[in-house]
Amino acid sequence: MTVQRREPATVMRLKRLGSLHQCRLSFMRILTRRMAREQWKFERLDFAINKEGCGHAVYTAQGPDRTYSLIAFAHNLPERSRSDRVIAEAWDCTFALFDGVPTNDDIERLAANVPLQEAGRISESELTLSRANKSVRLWKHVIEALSQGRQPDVEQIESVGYLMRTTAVYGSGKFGAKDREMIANRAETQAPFQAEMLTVFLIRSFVLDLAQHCANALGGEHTAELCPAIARKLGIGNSTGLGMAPFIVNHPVLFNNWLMAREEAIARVRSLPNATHTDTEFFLTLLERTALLVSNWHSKHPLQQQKLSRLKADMEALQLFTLKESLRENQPWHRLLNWSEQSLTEEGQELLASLILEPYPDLVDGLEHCMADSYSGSFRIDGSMLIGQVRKLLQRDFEWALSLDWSAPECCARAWYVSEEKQEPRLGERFEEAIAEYEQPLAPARDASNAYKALAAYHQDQPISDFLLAHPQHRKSIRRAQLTEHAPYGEIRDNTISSTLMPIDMLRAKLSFFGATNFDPRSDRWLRICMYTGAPYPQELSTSNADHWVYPELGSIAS
Amino acid sequence: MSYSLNEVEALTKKATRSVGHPWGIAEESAKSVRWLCENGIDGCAVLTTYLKEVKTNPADEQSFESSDIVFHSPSITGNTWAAPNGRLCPLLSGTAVSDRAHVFTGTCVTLRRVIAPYLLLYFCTLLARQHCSSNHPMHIVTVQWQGFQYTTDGIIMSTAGTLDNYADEVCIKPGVIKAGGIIQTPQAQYDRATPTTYDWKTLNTFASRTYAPATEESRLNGAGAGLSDND
Repeated sequence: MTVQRREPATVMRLKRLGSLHQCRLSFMRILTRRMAREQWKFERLDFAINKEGCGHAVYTAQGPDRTYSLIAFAHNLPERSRSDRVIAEAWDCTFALFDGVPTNDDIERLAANVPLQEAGRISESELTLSRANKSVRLWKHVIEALSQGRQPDVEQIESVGYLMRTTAVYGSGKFGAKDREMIANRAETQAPFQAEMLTVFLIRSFVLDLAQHCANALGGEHTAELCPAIARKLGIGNSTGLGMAPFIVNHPVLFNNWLMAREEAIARVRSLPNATHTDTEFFLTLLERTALLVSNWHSKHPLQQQKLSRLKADMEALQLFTLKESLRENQPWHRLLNWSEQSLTEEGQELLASLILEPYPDLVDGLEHCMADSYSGSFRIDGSMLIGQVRKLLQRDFEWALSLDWSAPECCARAWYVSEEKQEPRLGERFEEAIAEYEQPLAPARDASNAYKALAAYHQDQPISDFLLAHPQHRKSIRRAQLTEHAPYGEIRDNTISSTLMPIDMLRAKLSFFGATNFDPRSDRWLRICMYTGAPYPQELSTSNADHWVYPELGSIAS
Repeated sequence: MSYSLNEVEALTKKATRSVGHPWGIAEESAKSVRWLCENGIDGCAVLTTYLKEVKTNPADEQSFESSDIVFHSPSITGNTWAAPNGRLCPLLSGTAVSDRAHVFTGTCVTLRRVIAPYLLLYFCTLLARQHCSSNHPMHIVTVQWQGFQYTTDGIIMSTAGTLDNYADEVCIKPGVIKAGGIIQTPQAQYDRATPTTYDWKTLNTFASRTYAPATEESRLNGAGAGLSDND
């Protein structure tokens, strides 16, 4: 029996999207697998950093066809200026990913612009622009310990997870960078966000070198070298705010392609009639390693704490179930997931759905080629489509929304807008702040409902072009309905302006596809995550460690 | 200075929205400008001309809802399109041209008194693309106004003439490619835009009307305050 993909009505609820976990198709893992497979070469081309930790460095990553270079600038940031918020104007380190190997002139040009971030300009030679701040407590501890000839405390390393956290990685033409369209046909950047993921991979390497350099400067010859096993535990943090939420609404086909690839992978594995002993054992080992991952996941946010304590209970239930039930015959993965749907929370269900993909690279990994959206630019509304058909499209994704009273305060309590001072997306209270006039189109369900109502005055056999000429205000909804006709996972099946909206659910959905772990909400609208925790450093990367680094090794250094 | 095409698209979408266009029209306006830039035509200059025509002072505070943009919308009588109460908007009529590909026949459709007619070309290209892809007997689209001619099969195009801010009469005519009549001297393609400083600044001024003024409340709550971000 072939198992079908899960229904969009189940998958596309915000509560579930806010419980997604990394999997084989995560963008970081796609990148590390490729670089190992193709034997990329990495080099520290330049490290002109002084004793105070200021200066610049260049790291290159050379693939079969091209070389990319991270140019890092380290600054002396006064304590009071350090903020992860987008309104910040200075950072501990700033970065650009250069397309090729930079000349001295390029470095000079970037030195005058990259430290300014949004206030500077980069060019078509650059693919990304980024910045990072120190984790003050961990940075201090690690530098002190090393400079005194000791290794840092593993428990402290695990409780923070990173020496620096990025606060934005801008790509795709932002601030003058090269457009995504210009690199979309390169094998190594065809999958989404590969340039951004490479940036962070190289930043992690630079941050490690910078920390050792600063410790050496302080401790001289008595300084200890950071033990590689401890270094591996250091990821790169990331603080993520509301800027990410509009992305998944504004790119419905792209978002669909991510979800659809994962759902297709899950359905393929569920459809397997049997599992070999090797596959089952591999799964069970990773399950144990996942339990370690979950136990290292810390959050101070009450909601996430509650989710985590339930997830820990889920992990126990899951381990018990796998002890009792054989995972060899009778569609074992389908049985397991069916059980989880009755017995686990959404956190647990989604963790498991990702985990069953692990033994099956041959079934899953090819789907990474389906995750980009290559045709977004050329979409044209089909004005000849009959109104009856458009109504059906709207009903398919928004049946749940059509009966809501969209004028009721709780249904439209919020409005998304862009702030004048930093041109960043924010979320406000429609009935308390003067923002409605500036509302961004980020409530597709409300807009679809309004379009649907207006369509009632038209005959179902009329072409939609007649309606569009008279009602240009509904054009976006009609365009979207046609655009997502073949993208069943394109629309979130929840109200994105409701009084009960948790924007962090939208952020997590996107971040999980990056491959992030340790989601740590800091409010309902921004969170911190870890990237590349456990990953090999560039010089260590090989086909044997490029894939499962996200799962902590069993019996590694005890905390 | 050169700008990425995504920068052009993001800015021109907001700038178009600022004069009262719905988001759906603004998106396609931005695609139209981007397409012009890709084809070596200064789309930012064209859009700036258009926006200044429909709103003379970009710094004016005016609600989108009270916009009079609707008066530039096409009213269709037979093969003639005209704005009932003023000059014709190339965006409202351009999107309608693209939407109505199925009713375009071999005869010329005439658009009267069009502002910034260059903005129409993208939509006429979509029209040609539709005709090619649906085995429609018509394979090219010709757009003409005084001193200017544009021909496209939906993929490649050629233009002859100079940049105009206004056309009294635009003729859009789908037709078949005559023997040996392949498009001469197709346009070169560009992957960066180089608008003038003045146009870029003007577009930014228009776009800024879509941003909510900063308040302390917004700074704290809008982006989410929560726990410390320096630890």
